[in-house]
Formats: sequence, structure tokens, C-alpha cells
Amino acid sequence: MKLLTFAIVLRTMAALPRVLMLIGRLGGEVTYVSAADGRANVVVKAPKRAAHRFAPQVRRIVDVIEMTELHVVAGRTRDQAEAERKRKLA
Amino acid sequence: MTRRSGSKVVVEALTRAGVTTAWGYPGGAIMPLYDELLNSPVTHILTRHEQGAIHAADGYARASGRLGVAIATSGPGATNLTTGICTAMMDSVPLLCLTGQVASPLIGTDGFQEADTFNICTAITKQNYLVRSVDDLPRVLAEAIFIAQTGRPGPVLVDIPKDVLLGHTSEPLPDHVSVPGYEPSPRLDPAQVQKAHALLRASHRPVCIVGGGCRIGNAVDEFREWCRRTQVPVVSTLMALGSADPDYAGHLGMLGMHGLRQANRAVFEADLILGFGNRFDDRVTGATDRFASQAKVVHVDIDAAELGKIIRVDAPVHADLKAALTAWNQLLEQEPIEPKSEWQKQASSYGTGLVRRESSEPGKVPPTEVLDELFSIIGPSTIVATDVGQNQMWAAQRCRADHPRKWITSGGAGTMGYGLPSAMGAQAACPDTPVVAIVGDGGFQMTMAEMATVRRLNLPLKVLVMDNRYLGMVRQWQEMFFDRRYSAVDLSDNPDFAALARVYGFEAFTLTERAEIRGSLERWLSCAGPALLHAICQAEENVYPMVPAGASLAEMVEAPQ
Ligand SMILES: Cc1ncc(C[n+]2csc(CCOP(=O)(O)OP(=O)(O)O)c2C)c(N)n1
Ligand SMILES: [Mg+2]
Repeated sequence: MKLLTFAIVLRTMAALPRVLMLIGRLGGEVTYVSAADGRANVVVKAPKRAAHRFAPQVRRIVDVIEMTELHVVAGRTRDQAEAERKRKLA
Repeated sequence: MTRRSGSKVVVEALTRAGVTTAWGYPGGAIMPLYDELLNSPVTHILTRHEQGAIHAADGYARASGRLGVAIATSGPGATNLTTGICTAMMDSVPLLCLTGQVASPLIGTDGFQEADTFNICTAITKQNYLVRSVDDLPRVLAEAIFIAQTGRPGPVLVDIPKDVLLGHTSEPLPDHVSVPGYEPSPRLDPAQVQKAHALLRASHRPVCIVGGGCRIGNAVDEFREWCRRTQVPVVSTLMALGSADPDYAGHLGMLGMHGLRQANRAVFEADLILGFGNRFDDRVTGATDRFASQAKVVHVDIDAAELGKIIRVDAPVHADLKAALTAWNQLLEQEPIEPKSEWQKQASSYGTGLVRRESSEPGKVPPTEVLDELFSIIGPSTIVATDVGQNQMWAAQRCRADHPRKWITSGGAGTMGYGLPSAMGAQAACPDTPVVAIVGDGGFQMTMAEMATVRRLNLPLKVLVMDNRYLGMVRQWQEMFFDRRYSAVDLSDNPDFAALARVYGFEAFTLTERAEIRGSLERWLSCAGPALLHAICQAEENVYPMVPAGASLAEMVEAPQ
């Protein structure tokens, strides 16, 4: 699995389902989505072997005005964060 | 701008786009548009099923290069279009689909003949719309027509509620369409062409795979010039047949699952693959890990999502094929390359792998012999449309079209039932060009009611039904991969298709004897009006060569001797 993060500008919010449907079709699991006023941020767990197909195919949707793939540096997992919190409280 | 009804806006938009023909089927929600069509210069052709309408619009578009238009009512009318929309989407055919929708207040109430056409069609259209206000209609239609025909073309659907058709607006059709973020014509980067050129210059065994983009992008002349200058061996995808000059010695024919031996071997041995407007479909590549494994890859395509989608590309050229080849030909003028004539000779020495069966069952004809004779009689300027299955693959292996608009077949979707209605559309688009439909007994029965439409239009269409009394292609797979356990492929009680065609007003003939193949074909082809030839074919013939699914192109199964 590869984590993909997209910042998308949509011409109309009605195009969001089209984006999400395509992601699902490509085998992606949407783990986070927030959207308002023609903007959407989507985080997808994508199968590694198909990961390269997501961005260009989403970009091809006519109502996607702009799409940026964000390269997120892996953050701490929940367990790590929890362990750190406990350490600080101790 | 004067106020006019939504229906009038539709006719206005069609007329302004130069649409002269629309195919369709009326019903409650779309009735206001049908009323308006009576006063319009657009000729509406009533088919016998919405699937017939959309395949006809598709064949019309492929043969002419113009926009195809299909109209249907809400609910079942719209859902009957879906197979054709998917077919057009897979093969990038510019279609405008207009569907009626229940009146706005009824949307979402499970109203009579309500279907969520917009959402049903989202995955199979390039773009689609549900028009909520008549004031939006002029803009939406202009946009839909623009999007369908630009960039990588495709079907666009506009779903119009009845009250929107009946409502009035003074919004004009926009003179210019701009869709933010939609960039149909990528700007050619000359550096990409130079890189491709350098790879070509360095290669010893280059092979060009030409795809449907050559026809769609109107790049046939530029492509043929490129071939003349480079002498690179060319293999065609199913969609591209007719692109290479028929006299070009380097054309090795179709590649892929039922490709010719020389085409598949050349690709397997290539040290450079040049993909022009193709998409490396699984039926073309075979096992991708062993596809042209020694080769570097150049890929030219207008759709960025195709570049690197299936195979790794060393030199992508993101551009309209016509523009890319124009630039490349200029480069070849300045920096000519050593023509690849020796390699071309070697590649074509591998032979086609097509064999003629000598045996013949009494009362039946060998299907490949019928097609060999047919193609030798009709020559390269006849439009050939096919259905799907063995009939399609045998025809593709023998296709001699002198232009890709003369070869009409459902490639990506492989839609049975496509042959007759698409041929009808092509004949309507090109009334002075002979058109032949090659169909199987299975596929023909899916849309054969369109004979009534052909008859009413008095189109001189020639239909060849290759009746092997089987769903032949499925039977072939069952024979080869399922121990000859035939499941649900038997059509042994087929009707007498010649008699049926006569009832529809066709002239019709039956072919059962090998000695009569040529005579029957000539008699059938010389009919002035619509005519059908029912060829009773040997049943258990297979299409060879064949690359089994999952095998590499080098693992072709050849015809048994
Ligand atoms: C609409 C549709 N349904 C099913 C198939 C699967 N299919 C592919 S070829 C084929 C058999 C076609 O039989 P026929 O039309 O008689 O042609 P033949 O192969 O015998 O030449 C079938 C069922 C298909 N391609 N399209
Ligand atoms: Mg059959």
C-alpha cells in the first residue's frame, strides 16, 4: 500500500463523487476526505502496483480544475504519539 | 436574445454544431424535444431499440469524424443507451447523448420512468450533466458538444428534465466555450520529440504500434509520411487497422491476442517500441512483464493518463499525435535516419500465420475462405463494420482498409450487437461508399431488429451473417481452456436468417457450398438495396494464431497443420 494525498480544486462539488468513485475503482481506500467550497483534500491508501495511475486519472476528470499530489513525510503513528504523550506525562 | 423553449435551445445547439442527423427513440419525458425536431433541419432517425440508436450514432461518428447524436427518453430509454455509451467511451468516440428526465419536482420521488441517469452514466461518460434550470441549458449543451469532440474524444451525456425542455430562456448559446482546467490540446514539447528521435536513431529493431489515436487525431497522412521516412515496421491495434498505407511493405498487420505471427514476433524481438495513440491494452500486450522486454519505449498520446499506465515508458510524448508527427517529420527532414529496411524485411519474413483449411463439411463453408474471398472482391475502399467474436477477429486479420475510418469495430468494450447498427450509421454518414457488415449469428440476433431501420432508410447496406451455430469465440475458449466442455454456446436451432431478412424487405441469399462462395458474394454485393448473405459456416473453426490470456506474445498457438 502507498499513501497518496491529493489537494483538488473542483469546478463543482457535484464532481466529488466522480473522484471518489474513480479512486474506489482503481482499488484505493479513501482514509480521509474533507471538502468545502470547491476544494477537496483526499488521502488514499493505494495498492502499490496501481498507485501511479491515480493522479493522472483523477486529473483527467473534466470538472477537476487542478490537482496537486502532496508528498507527506510519514508522521508518527497513533501508538508512537500515545507513547510520547505518556512519556511526557510521566 | 428572444425567449425560446428548452427544446428549441437543443435544436439550436445541434444545428450550430453542424449536426444533420440524430438517432433515437421517443418517450414521455423527451416528447417536447421530439415535437421540436419536427420543425428542425436535423434529420431524426427512429431506430428499433435505443442500443441501435447509439451504436448507429457511434458508427456514424467513426466513419465521418463528425459528432454522433443519440436521443432517448428517461428511465429504460436512458438505461438502454448504456452499453453503447460504454462502447464509445472505451474507443474514444465523440457522442452527444440527450436523455429526457422526469420533471424536476418528481426527481427523487421514484417517479414514473425515473432513473438516476446522471449517476448511472458517471463512470462511462467523459462528462455528464443533469440540467436543473433551463437558463443553464445553452451553456451546458455548448460545453457538452465541445468536450465530446476535443482532446481525447468521448461520449457526453446531457440529462434534461421535461420541465426544462418545456421552460423558456433568453440565455444565448455562448460563442466561446471555456471549461476551467480542461486542456484538450497539450502543448507539444519539442524536447520530447527529440528524445524519441534519438532513441529511434540508436535502435536496430524498432517497431511502431499504431493505435486508434491515428484515426481519432486525423493523423493518417502524417503517420504515413513518418513511415516512408523511417521504414520502421508497423503493427496495428484492432482500432488502427487502415492507418498504414496499404502499399507500405513494412505493415505487418494486427498484433495481439489474434494478431499475425509477424506482428507479434516483431514486437517481441524489438529493441524499441514506438506507441502512437495506442493504450497497451491487455489484448495487445499479452503478459506485460514479458512484453517487448528488451525494448525501450516511446509513447505518444494526447491523454497524459495513458502514459506509463500499463508499461514503463522511456520517452513519453504528451501531445496530439498529428502535432507530434508533424514535428517529427520536420526533424526527420533535417536529421534523416538510416531507413530500417533490413529489419523490416526480416520482420515480414516471419509470415502471417494464417492458414487456409482444405477440409470442408458438406453443406457448410469454411468461414475464413468466405472472408478471404470477400476482402479480395471489395478491395480497400469499402467500409467494413464488424460485430464481436470470431467473425471480428477473422475479419481484422484480413482487413485491407485504405483508411481507418473504413474499419469500424468495437474494440475496448467488445460489444456484441454492435455490427449491424454501427454499419447502418456508417452507411448513413457515407451514402456513396459501399458498406459491409460482418456479423456472427449470436451478435446479429442482439440487434437484428435494426434491419427495419435499414429498410426504411433504403440503405444499400450489405450484411454477411457468419452462422457457425455457436457463440463461436466462447466455444473456442471452452475447447482450448475448458476441456471442450461446451456451456451455453449452442445456437444450433438458429432461424433461417435469409428468410427473416426477406420479411424485413431485404434481398437475401444463403451460402452453403464451397464452390459457390465467390458467386454468392458477387450476387449479394451487386444488389442495389439492402441485402443479407447467410453463410452457413463450419462450426468448430478456431481463430489462429492465438496468444492465450496471460501468455507472452512469443507464445502464440498456431493453427494445427
Ligand atoms: C454483449 C456481449 N455479451 C457477451 C459477450 C461475450 N462474447 C464475446 S464473443 C461471443 C460469441 C459471439 O458469438 P457470435 O456472434 O455467433 O460470433 P462468432 O464468435 O461465432 O463469430 C460472446 C458471447 C460480448 N462480447 N458482448
Ligand atoms: Mg457464431
